[in-house]
Amino acid sequence: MQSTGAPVSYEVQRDGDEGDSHIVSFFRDQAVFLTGVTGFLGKVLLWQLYRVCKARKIYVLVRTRKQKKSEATGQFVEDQQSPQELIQQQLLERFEQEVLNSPILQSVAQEERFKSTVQVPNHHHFPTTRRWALNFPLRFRWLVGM
Amino acid sequence: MGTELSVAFQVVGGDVAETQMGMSDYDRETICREVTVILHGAATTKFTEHIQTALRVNVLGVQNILQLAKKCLVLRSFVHVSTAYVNFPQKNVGIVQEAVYNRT
Repeated sequence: MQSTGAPVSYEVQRDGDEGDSHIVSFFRDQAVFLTGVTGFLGKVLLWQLYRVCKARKIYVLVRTRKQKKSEATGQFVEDQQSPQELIQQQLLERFEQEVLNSPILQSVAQEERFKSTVQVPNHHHFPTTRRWALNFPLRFRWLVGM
Repeated sequence: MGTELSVAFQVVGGDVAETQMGMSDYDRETICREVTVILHGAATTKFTEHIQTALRVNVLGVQNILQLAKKCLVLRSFVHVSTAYVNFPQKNVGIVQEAVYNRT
């Protein structure tokens, strides 16, 4: 069990405006498969990978076949697959705006909105999650009524 | 613009809750051949979700994508976005850090 308690600490690189963090340079030559990109975290992730990390290739799993309102396009998608280029365009256009207004980006990197969130030092990440983690056993007991 | 987009970015139709993730054979083969990093962020986070839907998406969805990941030839990393609630029963961890943990 000695390995569980020790997170691999990574140095947060904060180079100048030109420099890439090692995370950005890692993703630059990767082909990434993403699921959940229409969700809360996924859209920020996609945007970061696409715009900031400029990943070599990004595959995105999106529900297109259900006859329901597609979260990606905001339109009712018919039973057959929608044209992929259309979805791609709409995904990126809508995400650009949504991501820029996203509470994640705003809280994590207000002053460096256009940089990768992972470049931000740890203490800039949601301060509330820490408190949540601390109180969690209590909270859980309350949730399950123990 | 259009071509530039589709070079770096490709939408794959599918659903993690379906068997084989509802992807076409062609898409699956391409992904298995090329993908080096998988980031699994698909889930339903509704607390009021029907239990069967929640199970299909949040449990079987992970299973499905793990099966896909096993078939990826050049995979370097698999990242699963869970929730804030999952890791707390682990002893000795204390606060869950926003960092990469050692395997095992």
